[in-house]
Amino acid sequence: MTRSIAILSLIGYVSITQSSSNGIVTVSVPVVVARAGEQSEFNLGVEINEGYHVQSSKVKDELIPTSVEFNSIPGFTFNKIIFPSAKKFKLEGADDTLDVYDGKFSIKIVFTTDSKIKKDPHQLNGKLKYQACDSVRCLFPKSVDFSIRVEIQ
Amino acid sequence: MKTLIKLLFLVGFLWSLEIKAQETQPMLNQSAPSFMLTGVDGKSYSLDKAKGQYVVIHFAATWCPFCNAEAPNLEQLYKTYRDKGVEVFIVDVKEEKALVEKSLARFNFSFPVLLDLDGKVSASYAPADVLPALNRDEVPLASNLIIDKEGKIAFYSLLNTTAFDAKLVKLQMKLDQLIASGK
Repeated sequence: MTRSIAILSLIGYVSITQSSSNGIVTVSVPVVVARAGEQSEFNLGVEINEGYHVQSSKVKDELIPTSVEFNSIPGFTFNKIIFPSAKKFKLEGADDTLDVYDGKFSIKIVFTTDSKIKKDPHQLNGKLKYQACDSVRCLFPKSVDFSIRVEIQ
Repeated sequence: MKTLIKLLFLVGFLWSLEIKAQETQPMLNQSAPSFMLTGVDGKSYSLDKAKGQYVVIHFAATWCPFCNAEAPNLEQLYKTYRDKGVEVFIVDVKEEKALVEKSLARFNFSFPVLLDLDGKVSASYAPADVLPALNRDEVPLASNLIIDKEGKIAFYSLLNTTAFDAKLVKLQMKLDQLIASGK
């Protein structure tokens, strides 16, 4: 049993998910189990309403990329935020294509906890920033706030 | 007789196109909401001062992909039509001057870029009851309008959902039509 938990904690353990939404974008977050002093990871689930897309994490010119930010919290170091591959979106009547995300996708978060971190549950507060468009109009840049409970073992 | 029938058919077809355009474009023939805004160049611009000319307005933001795709074509349109009594304004919505100036420098616009800092002008061009879930100042983004010589809205691409017209083909057709009619 102990061994099973240890294995699960190495990869980040998703048991329950909670969702935050602002109407167009919904972020689903897991409860994460991590081991003190080790690297863990979890996936943020993102769902974009049908008909809309958001700009990818890497954009051209002045476009607003999709990004994830976490509030600083003692004992946590965020190592990598890994976004999925973007899809191409052709603007009708324009020569160029955009790199976008639509539908459902996941963003992998890789972090390390301090070896002396308290064993109490911690709450990570973050923000998914994005700029959405549909096929004919674009919306102001917006964000979805989310909170993740991290249990330390 | 055959020629007459063909002519009637053509007139009917053009009339149906006009009706369709009126159905899909909001605020047509309404007086364009007046505004006075400061340009990136620091000068004041008002719609009232442009009366007697055709005014093309494009609502934009630096982060808007549709707007950026259209930008070079808007500059080309201005160069083509400026000697035919056509003014072009970009109304940038809710962004600071420094950002707009820096971001749009690459397009080298020869027409004014106006700063709608609080979004009120943009909101005034949002048709009532259209896209109620959106902020009013968000609704006209990436839209193109033509204001005729009398200050009325003659073209509004807002609800033209058939295709995004980056090359401004339909807008130019309407401009040509207005210029030919002298209206």
